[in-house]
Amino acid sequence: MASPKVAVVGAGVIGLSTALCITETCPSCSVTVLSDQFSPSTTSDVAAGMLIPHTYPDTPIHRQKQWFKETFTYLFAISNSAEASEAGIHLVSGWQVFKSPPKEELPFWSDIVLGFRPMSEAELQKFPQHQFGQAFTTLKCDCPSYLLWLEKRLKATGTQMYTRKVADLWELHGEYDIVVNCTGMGAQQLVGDKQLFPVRGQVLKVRAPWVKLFIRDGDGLTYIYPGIHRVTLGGTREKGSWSLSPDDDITRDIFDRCCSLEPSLQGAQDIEVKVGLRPSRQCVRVQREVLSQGGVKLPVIHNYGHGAGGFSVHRGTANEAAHLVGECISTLQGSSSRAKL
Amino acid sequence: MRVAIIGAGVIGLSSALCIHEQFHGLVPSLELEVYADHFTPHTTSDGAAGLWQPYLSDHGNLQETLWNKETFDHLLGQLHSPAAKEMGLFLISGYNLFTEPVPDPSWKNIVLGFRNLTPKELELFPGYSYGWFNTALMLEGRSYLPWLTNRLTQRGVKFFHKKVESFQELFSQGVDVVLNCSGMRAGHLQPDPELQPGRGQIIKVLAPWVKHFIITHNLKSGIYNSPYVIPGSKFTVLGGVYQHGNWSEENSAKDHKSIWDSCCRLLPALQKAKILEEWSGLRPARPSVRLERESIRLGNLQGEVIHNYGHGGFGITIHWGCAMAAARLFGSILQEKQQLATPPGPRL
Repeated sequence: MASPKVAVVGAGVIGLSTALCITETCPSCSVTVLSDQFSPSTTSDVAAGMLIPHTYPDTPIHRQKQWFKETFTYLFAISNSAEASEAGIHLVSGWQVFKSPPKEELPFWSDIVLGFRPMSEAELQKFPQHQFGQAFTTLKCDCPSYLLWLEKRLKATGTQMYTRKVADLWELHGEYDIVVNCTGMGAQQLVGDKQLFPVRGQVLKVRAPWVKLFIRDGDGLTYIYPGIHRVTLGGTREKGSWSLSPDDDITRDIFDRCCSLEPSLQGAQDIEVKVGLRPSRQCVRVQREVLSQGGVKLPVIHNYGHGAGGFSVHRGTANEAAHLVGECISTLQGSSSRAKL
Repeated sequence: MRVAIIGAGVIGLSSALCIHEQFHGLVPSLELEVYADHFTPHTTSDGAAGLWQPYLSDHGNLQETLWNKETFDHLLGQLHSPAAKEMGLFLISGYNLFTEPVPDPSWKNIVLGFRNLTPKELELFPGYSYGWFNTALMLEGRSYLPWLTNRLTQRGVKFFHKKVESFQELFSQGVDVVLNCSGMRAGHLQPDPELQPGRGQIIKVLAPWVKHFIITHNLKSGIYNSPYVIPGSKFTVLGGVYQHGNWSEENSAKDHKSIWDSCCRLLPALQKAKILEEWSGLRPARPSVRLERESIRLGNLQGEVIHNYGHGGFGITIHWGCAMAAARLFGSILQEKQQLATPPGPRL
């Protein structure tokens, strides 16, 4: 197999970063990205892109930590380079505040973000309804910029990208040797994964350029994340809701909750409302599978189900998926040599 | 009781507000007048980035540290008020960087969350081996001065676009007390060899991805002679020039290059930042702030002057503490006038 043909289905942060990792680890591969949506219409475009991991109940913590660490390290280097503004990656400091003491004093990622420490009494005075808090510095991705930057990097490697709705992975058999499934919420239909469910998130993107610090309530429902041009105000976690239409009552509620954490947001302008469906799962599915139909095989690498934590672990899971692609290629090359014998 | 404030920078306007707030109820005849030849956005205060941060050392000047603290605490108390946005007041975190360990500053317990930098954080800043992280405040002059002006106007304070040539000029017009908040040009009103310009130059750029202030320090070159980056609400300020004794307010191409090159070395992403504007200003530098009363007598003319100038590169940082101190001095003047209770007579 001189030049394995790899199809990556999905062009959100997972699809694009996985495609990029594949071009890096397997330069001889010919990679094509297929998706019915590209930026700015993906779920990733709605996300705030904060590097604060979500904990997956069924993924071993050391694996989640490894994914986060790889992602953080990768983006840290970009944020410190001349490409930072184009890639949309920047550092941001702030606070995570709790009304009641958190289950874990030290989350698994506390030594990966920068300067993690408990908030001082003086800092907590800004939050009369909260008793406890953590201060740290982390990274933020301006998602549409980052996706465009990934697309640009991919094009530079010769990767082709096509708008195409893949209704069945078998469509790709014959055209491609390996399929990488990064379809996020789409995997529910595409591969019939009933463990995958949407968690609807509504956010407001507002202009409030004086907000330089992030504030997040430890319950994960209320957050203020300052981005390059806009501040993302959130949010909701509506399990099982498929609605992509903004809800005005929710908009009002999000705004009120955020203003109670940061009163100056009353002066925010140009409020845009966005909705995304977090492709949620008890564990992220990064897995190799060989589909079989009528004696024909189709190798598939899955990389989906990142839920609320896509940006936080994207590069780590992309690396793992690319590694699985490599294993796949070895297997295919092994069997093709055996076939020659 | 006529009070004239000379100067409409942050010191003049805040002193005027402080005095009016505290005494207009007690002194029905109180009339405040602000005289200046430059108003916002053309004052020194307008050019400053607006970061609350004193110098590294107060040189034992505890009074100034207390005034700094008063200012910080006062502003922190305003942070949640509806006025904060209009005032140009907001929280900001950031870094102070050094090439060697230094003692903690006088203000470490004034700011929020002061701590040393971790090794991983220092990786961001090659060439710097030590530093601090803390959360402080920004108070942007271009918002704060108009806000102060509005508050004063609402209170009936009058403004005069006029260059005052002497204290006597005002006393001869019937002014009782003069607040000398003339900043860099206090020497024109009364010679003061201790007051010297600390010339600064800045480049304003668009770099909205920068969310932290970064102030580097070169202990040999002195304060603000090392690159700094301060993100505001509308643009980011790049600076790093402090030239003692240089009166030029012209932008220097040499300084531009030095600031640009050193800031881009510090933050490579700045190379892509769009340059908006350049500005030079004179920090009214003095070994210590002159904040004191003086009775001026010239022939038949007599009047009280409260000096409040010489705030160097920390005017915004210290302004409210000084305004309160100036108000206290005004209070003592009032007390004396009542005690002396001279019969009304001609004032020449």
